[in-house]
Amino acid sequence: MSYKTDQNKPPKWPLILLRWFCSDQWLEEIEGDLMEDFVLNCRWYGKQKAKRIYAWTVIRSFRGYLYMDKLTNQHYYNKSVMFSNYLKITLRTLRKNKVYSFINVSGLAIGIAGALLILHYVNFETSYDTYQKDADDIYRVSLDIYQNGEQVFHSAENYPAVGPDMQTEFPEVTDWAHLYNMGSKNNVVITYEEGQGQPIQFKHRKFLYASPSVLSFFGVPMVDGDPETALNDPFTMVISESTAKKYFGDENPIGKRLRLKDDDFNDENCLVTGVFKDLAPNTHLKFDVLISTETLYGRFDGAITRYKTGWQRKDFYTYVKLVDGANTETLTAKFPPFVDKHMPELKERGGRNDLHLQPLKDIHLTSTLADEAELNGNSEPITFLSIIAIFIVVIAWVNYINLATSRSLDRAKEVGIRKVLGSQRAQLIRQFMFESVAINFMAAVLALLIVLIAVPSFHATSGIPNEVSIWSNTTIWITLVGIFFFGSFVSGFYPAVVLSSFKPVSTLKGKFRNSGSGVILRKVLVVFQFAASAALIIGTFTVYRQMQYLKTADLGFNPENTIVVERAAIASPDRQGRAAQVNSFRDELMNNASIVSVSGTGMVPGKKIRFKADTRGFTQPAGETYPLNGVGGDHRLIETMGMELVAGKGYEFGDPTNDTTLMVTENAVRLLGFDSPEDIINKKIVIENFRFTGQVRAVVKDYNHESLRIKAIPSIFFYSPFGVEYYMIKVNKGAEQQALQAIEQQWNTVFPGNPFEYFFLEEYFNEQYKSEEQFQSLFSVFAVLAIFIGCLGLFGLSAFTAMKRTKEIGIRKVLGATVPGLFYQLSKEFIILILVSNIIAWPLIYFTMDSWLQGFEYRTSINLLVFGLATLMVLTIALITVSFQTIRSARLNPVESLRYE
Amino acid sequence: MKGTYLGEFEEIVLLTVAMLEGKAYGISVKQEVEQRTERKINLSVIHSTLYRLERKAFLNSELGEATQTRGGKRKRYFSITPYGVKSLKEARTLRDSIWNAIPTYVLQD
Repeated sequence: MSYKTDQNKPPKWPLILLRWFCSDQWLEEIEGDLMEDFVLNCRWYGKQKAKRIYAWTVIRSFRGYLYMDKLTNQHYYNKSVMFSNYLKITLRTLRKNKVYSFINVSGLAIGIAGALLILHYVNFETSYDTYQKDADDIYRVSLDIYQNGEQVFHSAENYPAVGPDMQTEFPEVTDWAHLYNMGSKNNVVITYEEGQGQPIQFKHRKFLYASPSVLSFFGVPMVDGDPETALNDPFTMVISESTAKKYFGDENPIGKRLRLKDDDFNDENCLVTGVFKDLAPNTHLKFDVLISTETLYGRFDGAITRYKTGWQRKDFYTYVKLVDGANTETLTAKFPPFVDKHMPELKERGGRNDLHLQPLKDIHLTSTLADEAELNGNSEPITFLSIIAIFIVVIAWVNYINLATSRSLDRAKEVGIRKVLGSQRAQLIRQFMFESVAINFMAAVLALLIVLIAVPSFHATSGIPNEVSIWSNTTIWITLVGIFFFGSFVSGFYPAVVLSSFKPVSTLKGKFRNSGSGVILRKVLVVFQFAASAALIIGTFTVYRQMQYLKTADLGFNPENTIVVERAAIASPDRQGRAAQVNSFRDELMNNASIVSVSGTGMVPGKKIRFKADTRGFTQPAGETYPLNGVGGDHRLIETMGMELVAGKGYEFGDPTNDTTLMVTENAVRLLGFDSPEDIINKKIVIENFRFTGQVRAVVKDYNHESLRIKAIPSIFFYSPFGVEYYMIKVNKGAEQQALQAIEQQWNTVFPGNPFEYFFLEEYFNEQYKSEEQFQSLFSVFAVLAIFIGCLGLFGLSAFTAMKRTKEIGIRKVLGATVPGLFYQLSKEFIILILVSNIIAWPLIYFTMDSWLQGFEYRTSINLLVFGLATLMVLTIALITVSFQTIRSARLNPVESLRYE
Repeated sequence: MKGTYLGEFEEIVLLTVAMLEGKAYGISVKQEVEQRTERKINLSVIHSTLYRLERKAFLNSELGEATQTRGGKRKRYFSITPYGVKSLKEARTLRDSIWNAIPTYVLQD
């Protein structure tokens, strides 16, 4: 064109836009005017501004009169007619090939749904503690305790004085807050006594003593009350909205009183001064009752040191807020002298304390300290899952492309006819793109449906609380829309270009052959997908075997048919009264026919024992002690728990030597300097931190107090008939209901005013494998997904090869090949592919599962049979998939396949 | 009546077309109006006004010559119709009658 001589050219895209919407009636002169205007503007304002004006003018030209014309005028009606034509053709094609359409749509939908669910999970896990005010500047101070250079304690809790002292000594620390975590250790019952009728009472776990600033520190949203002052005074409390509802119904909770009682005989009547909105579920520190720390200071003489200013007891969650952009490393470097200053005697005793700052946001996914406020998550599956999510979607698209192009023979003729009748390539591309958009749209809708159906069970397996709605997560919607648009174009473009490029002459003559290119790529993809499926199947089996092993392994005690009741929070205030209560509860139950045995113990398997006895053999040098788990119990402990004695005799009722004798586990024998269990019987051992020396009366077979991830811990048993933390009640199998009734009745008689709660030991112990169980279910879900997606790829590939070999099969048949023979011939290739993919998968999954199993001290072996089984499974599924195509091709009448020649 | 109503900007454009004596097309009208009103006007506004006036039958149009600066595209020349002239006159008469009705002291500075 002539204006090319002019160096200044207007941008192109506005013109494309203009041509698209502007009616042809005016297009020419408007284009001309625009050009002229542009040239003039270049002269006056310069090129850049002229371009901007040009584009702006085009955009402003988007006026009704210009394009309405196009829609209403018959002559310009063409494009919208084409649009409805595309839609019609798309629907027809979809209907004509129901199987293809179904596979395409469902494959994409499952891929998208899987990705969305994973995204939901990842999103929830990473959203922990990001919503609090100044969340980026808040850190928790954790504590490491070393003794003689050895780490003995790695805790989330800290000394009460750490927070306030940090604020006074470090300018970087602008604020602090600490909470005393009591509800999880003690038995707390809170009662509303002043209401009408029966007092309302509940046991509370999510209960903390909080320093005055806690509410404003975390920016807890309040429904009522002043967050700045609500916790300033002794005997004040704030409660969550739902707690308020539980106690007071619709009455105003402010100014009411609730009485707290725990099993340390604290009895505190507190005034409700505030109500906060129920906390979001994505925080590691969950509470629904907070009582002011001021309440603690009046408990006894010296309580203020114990709970506020002291550096002795370490049981406060301590949080500090740093100035914006503070360098945590320089601050951490100041901690050692800070500790030295406040604990000057520590060094002499050979101890060392390290303080660390944990960013609030990272606690949920990275922190696994002792005394965490709750069981935290794990960052590893997050990365693993994110990769899988991307993988699933990409594979789904690739399979779609595969399927679409492998159908090219079907549609080659259609393309030929269309071209002969005057279709332009652009129109054909539009047609195919339209189909892709339609399929992707249906897939997106179906994906939403799948998500809708799967969400409840997904929440159950992944541990996301149900109140977290997937639909209110904007990231999910944005991703869905993004996947839809990106997918429509990415997966539609290649087939559209390929299909529209066919030459009508060759397709209509019947000589059409698809190029062989892409076969290798397809094979690689199939191998890759099946390797992933095989790996996931083997992984699922192995995880399952390990889980079975964990649940059936010999623990050294028998958790079956055991009901556990925690000690009563409200009990007789004096020792004798308490002992009488314990006795009467225990002994009455022993008389019940459905109950085998009852024991009062100081521990429950599955809950870490924090009570360590620093023990040595009497002849070993003083100071060289071993920390043994301290287990207190009565004379029925061994019997009730189903433990075994290796040597000696257990405690007996009324035996006067009970109080001066001890039992140890087998693995403690060698630590204490003896060679065999028999040797240690009647020998003296010393528990230094109790200043106690006693004789060993029996050796107990090692038992696994905690999960089988770790080795059985050496333990020491002592006689403690009344220091009962838990009642273990062994019941007859099948008699659980009668037993429970009897227990509840007895409970209410002996411990009136205490809510009755119980749990089954086996369930409680297996709670420790929750994360493994989630791992297992996620693993199996993805195995199924991977197989499904792999089959889609295989289906595409088999359709493609069958199409390519149509004529070959025809000739073979003419020459006398049988259907089974052809079936074998056609399937052989795929069997080889599947075997190759399995062989690739074997070593990969072997090492992965091996390292996973290494995380367990007690583990099953990797069974090679599983590998064979998985391969067989994959092979069978693959053959079934392939047979759809191969049988059809093999049975095809040679006349059909050869007649075009 | 809505169809024959002449807005202020429409009136200016219509007058300009009449003034340009058959040399009126998008750019020339735009330049003329910009100069006289001393304000910047987007080309699309001129276009939409011209087409609207044509639809109201105040203007006639025909395609003219193509030039190099226009990228080989033709111009559309606008000319005023007798009906357009009549409307302009009516508008003026209306104004004049109102002007005449204003008491003189009001218009004194």
